[in-house]
Amino acid sequence: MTNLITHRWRFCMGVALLTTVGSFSLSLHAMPSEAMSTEALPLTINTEEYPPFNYADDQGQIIGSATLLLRDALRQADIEARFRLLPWARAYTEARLRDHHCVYSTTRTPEREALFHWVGPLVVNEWAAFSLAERELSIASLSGLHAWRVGSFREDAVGDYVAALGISVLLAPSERDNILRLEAGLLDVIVTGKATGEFMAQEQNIALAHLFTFHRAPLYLACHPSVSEALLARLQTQLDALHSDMQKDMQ
Amino acid sequence: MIPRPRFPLSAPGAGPKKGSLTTKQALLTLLIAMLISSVAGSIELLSHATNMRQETEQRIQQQLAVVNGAAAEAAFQLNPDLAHQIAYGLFSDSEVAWVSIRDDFGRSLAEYESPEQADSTWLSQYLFGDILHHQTDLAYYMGSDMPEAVVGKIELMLAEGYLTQQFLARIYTVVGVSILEAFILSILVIAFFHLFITRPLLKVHAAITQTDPNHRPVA
Repeated sequence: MTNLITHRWRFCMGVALLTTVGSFSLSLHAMPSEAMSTEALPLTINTEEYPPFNYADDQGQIIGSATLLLRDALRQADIEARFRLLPWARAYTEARLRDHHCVYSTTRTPEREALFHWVGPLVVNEWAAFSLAERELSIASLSGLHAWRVGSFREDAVGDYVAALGISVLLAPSERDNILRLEAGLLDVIVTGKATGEFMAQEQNIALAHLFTFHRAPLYLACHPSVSEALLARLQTQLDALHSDMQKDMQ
Repeated sequence: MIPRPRFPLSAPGAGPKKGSLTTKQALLTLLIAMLISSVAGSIELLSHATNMRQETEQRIQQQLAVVNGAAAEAAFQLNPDLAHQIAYGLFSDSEVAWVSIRDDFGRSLAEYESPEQADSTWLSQYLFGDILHHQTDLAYYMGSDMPEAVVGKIELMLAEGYLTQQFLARIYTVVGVSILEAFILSILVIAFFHLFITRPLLKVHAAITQTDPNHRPVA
């Protein structure tokens, strides 16, 4: 009798063990395929008009120094991606709230740190203040901006930084609008990337005066947390390799 | 023996008295006129309610169509300033109790709500309950290489109390005018009957009743 009970107990335990091992092995099998399916989803990469880092040429092709670097890294990492040029607020918000979306060129601030997975830096941006050359304003620092109408654009880290100092900032949809607003006399000063301000002034044939530079910030590709970390690690490796190649070329 | 009339007669030339034939005619005429005006007024009110519903719906749809492009631009740019201007424009219409513009992430870009809203009544629900809520998607054409995308939604609620007040104001006017019309028409009809039919007939009747059948004129 005791033998019979022991035999049955062993049989039950064996079945339970087999079931546990089987389901564990099944989940192990499922994991790579799940990761693969996540990776297989096409990546949507949003950007904005922010020359010379990212902008559209006459044919509508998205170019710029950050774009070229990112495209090279993606190609070498064998990652398929779809690029879209949008107003910054939408480009940024889609990457923040939508699965498998990324946005560049994004300043990595403490407020944004936890919202994204980051790849970069792509390029380095200098934050500067500009006015119309004909206005002959002499402002040497951010504290001198309080008395002036200062322009930036929505969700821009430069504008947010200046606004956080208590300076009133008027927001436009894009940087191009700000240059036009400056020319129309609706703004006294714009705060933006130094290279961007100079590029747009030259492009639109407007004489801008560089007032001062107040910060240096590397720009990154910021991706929604749903984007596979393995994929981003691969991209980061390729990006680092490209950077070291560029440094070697410069030497 | 003088035959007794079946109904009280007024003396010829004197005004109609209470219970007289003319008074009865007047009351009957007034009653019929009021009945006709009530039926006509009801038909007019029904027609007005239908028209008011159609006009309100059409006007709101037109307003939404007019602002759709700008609202889509605001939603696409995620521009709350522009969205507020559009929402405020819609809200400035007294018929609108609540308006909201949302982006495609479900976040509110702009919202206005009337602080004073009249309570819902069975009449307001019956008349306008099914046309109070309006909403339309905001579609945006992003470029030739991308399909048209829904970038947000505009939604509004009509002011149930305001619409009912407008309707009731119209009712009071229609009913008031109908009663006045019926009253004036009745007076005219009564006066006409009294002067040209009833009074001459009564005169004839009085003359007949005052005739002495025993008193024969001498030939």
